[in-house]
Amino acid sequence: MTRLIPIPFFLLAILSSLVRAQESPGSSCPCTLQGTVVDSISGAPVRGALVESSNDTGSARGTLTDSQGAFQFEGLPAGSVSLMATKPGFLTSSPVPYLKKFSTFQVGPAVPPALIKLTPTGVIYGRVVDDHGDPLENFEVQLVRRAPSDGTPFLFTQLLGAHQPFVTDDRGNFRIPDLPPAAFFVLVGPAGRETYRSQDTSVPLGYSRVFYPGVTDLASASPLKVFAGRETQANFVLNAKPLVYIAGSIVGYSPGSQVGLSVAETFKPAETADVHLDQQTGLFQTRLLPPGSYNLSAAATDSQSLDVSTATRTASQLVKADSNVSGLRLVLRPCVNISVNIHGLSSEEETERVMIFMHARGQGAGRQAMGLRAQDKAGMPPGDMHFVCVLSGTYWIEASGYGPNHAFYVESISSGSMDLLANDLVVGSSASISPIEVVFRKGAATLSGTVNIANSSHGALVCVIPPSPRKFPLFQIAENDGSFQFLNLSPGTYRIAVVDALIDPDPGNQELMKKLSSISKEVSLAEGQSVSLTLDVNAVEE
Amino acid sequence: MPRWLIHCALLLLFAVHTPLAATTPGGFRIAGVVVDSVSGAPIDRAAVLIAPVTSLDDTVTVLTSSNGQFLFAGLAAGKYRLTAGRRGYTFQGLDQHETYMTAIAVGQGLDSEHIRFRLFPEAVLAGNVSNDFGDPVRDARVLLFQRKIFSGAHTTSLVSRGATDDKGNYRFAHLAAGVYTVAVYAKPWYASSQGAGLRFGEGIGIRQVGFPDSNVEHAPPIPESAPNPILDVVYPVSFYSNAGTLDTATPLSLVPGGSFSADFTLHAVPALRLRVKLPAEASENFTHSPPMDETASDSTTTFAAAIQVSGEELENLSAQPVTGEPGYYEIFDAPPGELKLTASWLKNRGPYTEQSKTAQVSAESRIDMELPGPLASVSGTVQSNSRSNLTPEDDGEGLSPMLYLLPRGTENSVGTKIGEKGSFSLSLPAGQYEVSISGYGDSQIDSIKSPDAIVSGHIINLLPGKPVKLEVQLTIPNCSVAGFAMKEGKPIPGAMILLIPVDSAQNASLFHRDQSDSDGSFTLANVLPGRYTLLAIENGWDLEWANLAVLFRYLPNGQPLEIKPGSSVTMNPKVQ
Repeated sequence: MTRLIPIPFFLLAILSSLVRAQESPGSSCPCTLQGTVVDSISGAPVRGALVESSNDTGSARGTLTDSQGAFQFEGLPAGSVSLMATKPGFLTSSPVPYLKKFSTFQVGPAVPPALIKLTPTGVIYGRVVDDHGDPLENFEVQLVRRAPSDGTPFLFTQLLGAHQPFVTDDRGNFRIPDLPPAAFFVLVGPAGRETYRSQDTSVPLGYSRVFYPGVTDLASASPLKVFAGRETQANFVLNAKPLVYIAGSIVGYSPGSQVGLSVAETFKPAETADVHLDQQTGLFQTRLLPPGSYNLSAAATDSQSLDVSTATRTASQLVKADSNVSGLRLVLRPCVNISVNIHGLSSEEETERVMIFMHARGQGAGRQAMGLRAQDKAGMPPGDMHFVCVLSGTYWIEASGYGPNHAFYVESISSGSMDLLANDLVVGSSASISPIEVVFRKGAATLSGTVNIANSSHGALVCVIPPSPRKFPLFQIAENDGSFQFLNLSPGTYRIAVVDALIDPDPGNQELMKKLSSISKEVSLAEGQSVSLTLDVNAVEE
Repeated sequence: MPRWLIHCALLLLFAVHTPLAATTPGGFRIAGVVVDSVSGAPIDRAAVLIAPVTSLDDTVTVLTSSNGQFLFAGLAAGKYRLTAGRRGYTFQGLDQHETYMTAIAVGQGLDSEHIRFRLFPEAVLAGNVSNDFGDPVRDARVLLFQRKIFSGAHTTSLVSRGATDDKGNYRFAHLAAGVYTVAVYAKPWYASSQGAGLRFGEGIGIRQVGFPDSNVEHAPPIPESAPNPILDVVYPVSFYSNAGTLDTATPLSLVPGGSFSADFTLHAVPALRLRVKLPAEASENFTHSPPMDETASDSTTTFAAAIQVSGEELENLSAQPVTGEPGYYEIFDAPPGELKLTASWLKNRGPYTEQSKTAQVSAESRIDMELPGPLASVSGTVQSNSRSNLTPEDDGEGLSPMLYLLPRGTENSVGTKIGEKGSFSLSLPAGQYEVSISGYGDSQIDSIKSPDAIVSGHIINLLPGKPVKLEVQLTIPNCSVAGFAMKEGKPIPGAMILLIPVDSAQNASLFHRDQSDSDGSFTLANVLPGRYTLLAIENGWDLEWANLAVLFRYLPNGQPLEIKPGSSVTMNPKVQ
């Protein structure tokens, strides 16, 4: 799959040249541009919104809408002007940019008033109590979302920046605002690392981190749907459970090596639990932890070894600890190094930009998508790229290459006889993985066009389903003028569908993917071909 | 009982209905009943925790029974911290006053089984902040002040900070009963001193949905040249209700278990643009490039401006040097009200100097930071008693040992770096100042001697034009005083213990305090050597204990003490 290249956004240049053709001759400006800002869901006027204008000459103006949502700019020259409206509580003010913020309007003596629609954000709120109904205070609430690129779960709340972490108050209440319409998994757990010791039960108790409605693994969790302008409730009743420990031994390292072990929850990777680890024997035992799934990751470095590639040995394992775990064996294996050979680019073009990613698939519980970038060394002959010390796991491989003169597409990615465009790469205990061969070809195809969004409230989401064996759909939000562009595509038969921009592009949503497929149109792309289409927005119920 | 930090522990509530015994090795017990301090009714399913004072993390928790009783059995002799809490009752220590509490002494001949733990129900103060449009103001800073005895005098001091959520709501929970005031500070979300158009340039227009890091560049347009009156606005700091200062704010009285709703409507006013003239010494070394690092060895002058409320710095304001006019800074976006301006510079390649000025601004104005003459020059040396290091601590960030003169009733404070041999010199207008030292680790000011100025405790009085020489002695306070508070031969728990230095009776910050434990015992640590009076006052926690007029009736019956350097003194004061 090719990653789309961000393109510099020459909106003003393109639009102003398009618009001049339509300018009425002998325009008698400076003119006044009047308009209204409305809520795209309810239609109600939005008061106190900031409207900023930017015209051909690049000068900017700003004003606030009144109680009727109305605004005006006086003394504008004739021509086109970009307007952007923002207000907290609407998607254009969200810290995560989702929709296009600009709209373009004409300034002239007799133009209709401008209408700007703002889409309100959604909210997830709820209450966390214990099994007696008493509130649990200072519990952290996180949101997990599946990435549109590959469906891998990631911590969405990290994108909400300064407002983190979200914690419950003294009544057990929490509230996460500014959300786009999408499906989220809600994850709740104690904010701190307190351990409780009580003598009235034989074992201390604690609270596990759980997904709504109260499960420790993402696979059994129920996603919550957030709608624009609405609040979705998620309440939790948590039961304290006996704490558990994870114990075992790390084997497979030479004496004198430095051994380390980290134990962390999938969605709190930075907080590693205290582990008692004996360097000599490799025996370890964690402190008491709430039951749940933990990622154990061990590494041993032999400082005496002269061979760098074998000096480090690693092991990682996901442990589901619902009760005490004893006798766990973590067998350290030599680092798996995977080399990458690039074909189809001359070294000159390769040094421009080549990126190979190994995206980790969540091992059941879902890991943040991590890209391991192959070391590209400028000036080196192609083929001298490698991933160092890859932890065992399942990965999908992504490659992209750019040259100054040519558009490349990925013809194939393989390792040995395994086709890595169709399959994931499993890095396991077996020592060696055949080098990854990436074949680029000149002559990438382009699929672009315009969506008719004149009457659409929220804009358009364009979905392109690549031919098999590539698995993931490509999503893009159309520009303000309805245009879209997918680059660096390999030849083949694609399907393209356009839906309302508020639809959540979740590749893990099988029903949505089926609906998109059924309303899509087929498009064939030959090598080097550019196809341009004009499309309408299709209604699809989520 | 040494100071105890309140940990916000989570309550474990179990489905149990009988009083539970907690056992650990040893033969002693702690038992009692937990009651509501207002009604006197016993409280069931309250969590009661004990921990040995020597290892406070080893807590043992027990829930009270349906008649409010608790029992810990099989304990070793020693002292235990006792805390309790429940939903609706702040987690608190036994007989807690400020940060002091009564610990339970357990052992032969000691009664630790008839404890009556009064739990004070907590109060809540909440409210909403909205703007001229009737829209909620989100992320407003909300300050909670409490009128209480702080450093021994009735003052209103900041006790908590909060923020409003997306609906403009804020909430302070777990409050003890008392008298409170609330203030709000926010910036209008749409305000910008540089006009519109800046938002166009913020990485918008992504092509990839859902990827936070794939942004598209867009050339930002040229911002408006003249300030836009609609956007160039601020909210002044607002006190409840509709007051502009802490003194005119409405005090809110919260009873145990009570609640109050304090709402605010913020009104936008034009932002003030202020011009500040730095002191001449600072301008001499003025460089045209904006100074980044105030610790750089080359001459650099820095300037910072912040909004201040009751001595607390709330938010920094942006201040830029005025191009073409060295020594001048311009502050944008200032709200009317109190500001703290701080300038720092290196004097002719000499010591680093810092000057702060508190200014009240209400209109576009020019502020001159030049100290009003005639100035008195203060110079001298800082020396240490202890043979151990006088080496000033350099904490690695280049912040050097400094001597500050902090104003008492005036506007300007000045600080200067102390030289290698302990020498310092600075100049200030006449007035009263407190001498303060930083950067010497644990060492504190033991005494200040001067042939010229009037010195009382650490406070000096400067007269105009009169140079003053000071000799400042530092020492590490490592003495201690311990004993039992006794009244007619019986130990008194919960008494306030006060250690007052004879020479510095006006300076409450130099007093030491403790609360006597269940056996009447107390410990005062980290005391400087010197002459003191030791007092023990029963039910003394509501006294303005720093006020000499109040202490006057207790001092004659206090215990005089002379503490030699490095010593530990034992004394049993008579409880009054």
